Amino acid sequence: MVSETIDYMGATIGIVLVFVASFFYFSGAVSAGIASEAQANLASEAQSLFDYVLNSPGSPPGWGGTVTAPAQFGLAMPSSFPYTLDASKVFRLLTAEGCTLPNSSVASCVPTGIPGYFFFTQEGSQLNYSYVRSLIETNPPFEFRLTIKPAMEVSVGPPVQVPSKGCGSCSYVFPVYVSSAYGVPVFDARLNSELFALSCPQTGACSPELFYTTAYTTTNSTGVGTLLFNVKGDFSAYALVVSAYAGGISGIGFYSTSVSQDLVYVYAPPGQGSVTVMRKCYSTPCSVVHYNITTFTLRGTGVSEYATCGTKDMFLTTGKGFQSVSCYLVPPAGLAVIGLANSNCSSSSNSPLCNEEVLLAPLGVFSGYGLNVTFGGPGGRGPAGSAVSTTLNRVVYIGSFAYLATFDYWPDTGPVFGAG
Amino acid sequence: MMRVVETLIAVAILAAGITGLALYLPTQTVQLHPLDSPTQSYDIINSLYTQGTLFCSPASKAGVEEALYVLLPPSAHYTLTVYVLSNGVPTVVYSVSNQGVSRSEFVTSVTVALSPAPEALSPADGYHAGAPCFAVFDLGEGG
Repeated sequence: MVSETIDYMGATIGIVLVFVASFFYFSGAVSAGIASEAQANLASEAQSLFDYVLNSPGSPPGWGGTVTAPAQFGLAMPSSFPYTLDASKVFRLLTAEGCTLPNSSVASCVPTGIPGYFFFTQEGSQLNYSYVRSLIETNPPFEFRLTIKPAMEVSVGPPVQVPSKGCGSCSYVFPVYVSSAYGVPVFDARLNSELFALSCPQTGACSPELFYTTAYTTTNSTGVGTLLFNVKGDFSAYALVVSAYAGGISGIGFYSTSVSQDLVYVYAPPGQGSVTVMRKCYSTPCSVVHYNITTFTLRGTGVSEYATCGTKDMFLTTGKGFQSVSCYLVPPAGLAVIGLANSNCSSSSNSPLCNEEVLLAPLGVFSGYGLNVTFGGPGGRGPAGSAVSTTLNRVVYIGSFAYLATFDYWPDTGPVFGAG
Repeated sequence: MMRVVETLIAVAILAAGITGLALYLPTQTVQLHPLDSPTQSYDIINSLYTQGTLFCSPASKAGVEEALYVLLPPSAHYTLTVYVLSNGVPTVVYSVSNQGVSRSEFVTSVTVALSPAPEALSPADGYHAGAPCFAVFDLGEGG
């Protein structure tokens, strides 16, 4: 009897042990399967949402050109090929910074990607991440980050060779670095570049004239090209714009000796067809600034002159407030080149207080140069990321330039820190 | 006593089975096919086509090669082949590849119709201007 009881107890304990062990093992396997299925669902949701954002114009379809918030979110250019984005909509995803202008008419600055040069917009026109998220779905169970960057990155280094003062035939040599959006050097990219330089041809106070010349080259196996400009005379103020082209994809890069913008503010409101140059002076007396504003059409393979605004004898002063001049002869996508010289500069001999500048102001947001967007997520006014996320890529076009759009998507089911 | 022995044998059999499964299953890679690959592949080919880089002529080969190099991550493997239909038989116009598709774990293949061939290459090619044309793009990931 006793031995029978021991038998039953032993058998029961053994089977229970096996059952418990099996349960734990198979529950782990089932959990892994469910996790895989959840990941597949996440990827599917992300894909659906990403393609909707990139291929829907939103509502109203032209919301990018207004300062009001859209009722539906979408970045597509209405009536265009798939994955063609509206520059004015993308512009409103950029992060604005507070800034103060002398006339206090605008108080929101958007960095352009060019040091020292900002777009000025109406305060509140830039979209808020939380608002956009709520447009997609009420109380959505997800977070996302959208980044848009040029498919071809072009950067111009400072000149490795500059001419000596008083040289007759002078050479400027600039290194140019071209890479893909993934950071891979682009071999054999065709580079087409314009060097803009300022000269003072008249006697007496400088009335700036803009001189420009072109150079071409291709990149080597490390994605580096060397641009050589042979010009007559040496220049203290100059700027460079470089277009890179490979396989139908274009990129653009800038270099300027005048990124500090000591003399003026430059602003080009998107979609308004003008560029405005405003005298900037922190302490009086401020010298008169002579200017030359010339606009250029910007294509994937180079620039061509579009119009010249102003005359040689025109100038800006601060005698009656912050004087400004606006140029309306601007192409839809192009570049304004602004030559400046204060009254201490002359064609014969410059005083130590002479300040000459050449500024480059791209016109037509995104259509003309590489601007990076990070919207949502860390660094993009959104919450911190998650270990479980799905990342998708698409090639999109803004104007004639290709960009790589990346979408990170993750569930908002756990604790989310730093939500914006 | 006999029942205990029987139970121990049964437990040993079950334990051996579970151990065997536990040793075998981890060797079987469970991976999801990248769900986004078809859309991404179509997006890239569509962008090359709409921008005029991809067309039915060997003249577009160099541009397509450069564009795929720029637009795809270095880890992606691909082969793009452009065909023209000659008397109903597909003839290769050109092909570009970075030689890695065969090593990929997952390969997505998309086919897109292109504008008809603008010209006959030569009489030997056997197709005429206006012949139907299409491109097959294989994008490999993993491996």
